[in-house]
Amino acid sequence: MKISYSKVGEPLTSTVNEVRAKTSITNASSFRKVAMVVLGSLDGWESARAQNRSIRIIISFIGAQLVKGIIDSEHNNFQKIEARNEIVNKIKSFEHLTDGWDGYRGTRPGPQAVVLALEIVSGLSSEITLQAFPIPFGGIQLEFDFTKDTYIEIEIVGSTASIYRITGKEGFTCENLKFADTVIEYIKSFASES
Amino acid sequence: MNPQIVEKDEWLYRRCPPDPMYWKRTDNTTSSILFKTDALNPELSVDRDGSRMEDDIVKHILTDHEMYGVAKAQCHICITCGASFFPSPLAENQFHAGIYGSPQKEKVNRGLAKKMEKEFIVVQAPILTVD
Repeated sequence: MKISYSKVGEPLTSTVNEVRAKTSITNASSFRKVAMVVLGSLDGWESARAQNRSIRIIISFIGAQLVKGIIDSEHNNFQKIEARNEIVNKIKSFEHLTDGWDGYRGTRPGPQAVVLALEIVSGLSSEITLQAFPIPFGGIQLEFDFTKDTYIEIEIVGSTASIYRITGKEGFTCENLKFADTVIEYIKSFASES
Repeated sequence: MNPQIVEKDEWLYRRCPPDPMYWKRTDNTTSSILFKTDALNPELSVDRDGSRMEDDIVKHILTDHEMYGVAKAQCHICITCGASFFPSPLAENQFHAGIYGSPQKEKVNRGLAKKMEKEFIVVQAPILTVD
């Protein structure tokens, strides 16, 4: 099978055989650099590209199952890394919040909270999904929805992180933790249980 | 409107910021952070309905905050969650009230904030500033 590929957002540039195409995909440092489509589906590719659809839609044109598997895998990993980078950038952006950001008396998180939040996030695998929010009284909140009934919230104010966990209808607060490693271990252990 | 107490059947309104960073991508709801307070400033600001039309309330809350959204909850539901209410009129806003974590005016703790996150209904979505 002959496969054409290109950088995303650009016209198809190369036509290679399946083995070489798979190698290109596997070796790509960033999945966004490479997209593939079987010859004969060019209209679909061009149409999807014009509409700026996601890679996942584009790969549905590929007939070779093995290639598709590799792409899916790469795509998932890429999405997770992208999501994690977004969280990191979001946390960094909290330092630029102005007073009253919440429409009331919200203040921006202090630098210690930003550093601790970044330490915690960077210590967690990108497999663990989380959300980050500023807290109106100068902190950062990390939220983890592990399952439908299990939620963990880490509130970081200054250089202290406190953990709040809800399992089912019961919630409780754990002790305050000062070290990122301790928080990371707690989250990891919970993630593995889930 | 009773100036001494917030009645149980009153609706309470609160502003929601317009930046997408405060909204959850998964279900487009906001986070409990918007309902948390600390010991230093334990009061969570809300506006009482004061027997006004909802359109008027929203318009009033969004004065000088055009891009923001507004969420509401009924007083008795928040009481069920564990909240306490006190009228707290301001010179520029006679409808202002405070939500606290207890009758002793303690902060709104994370458990209560999490419960209120689920009870507050968005009546006017914010104009999100970034996609």
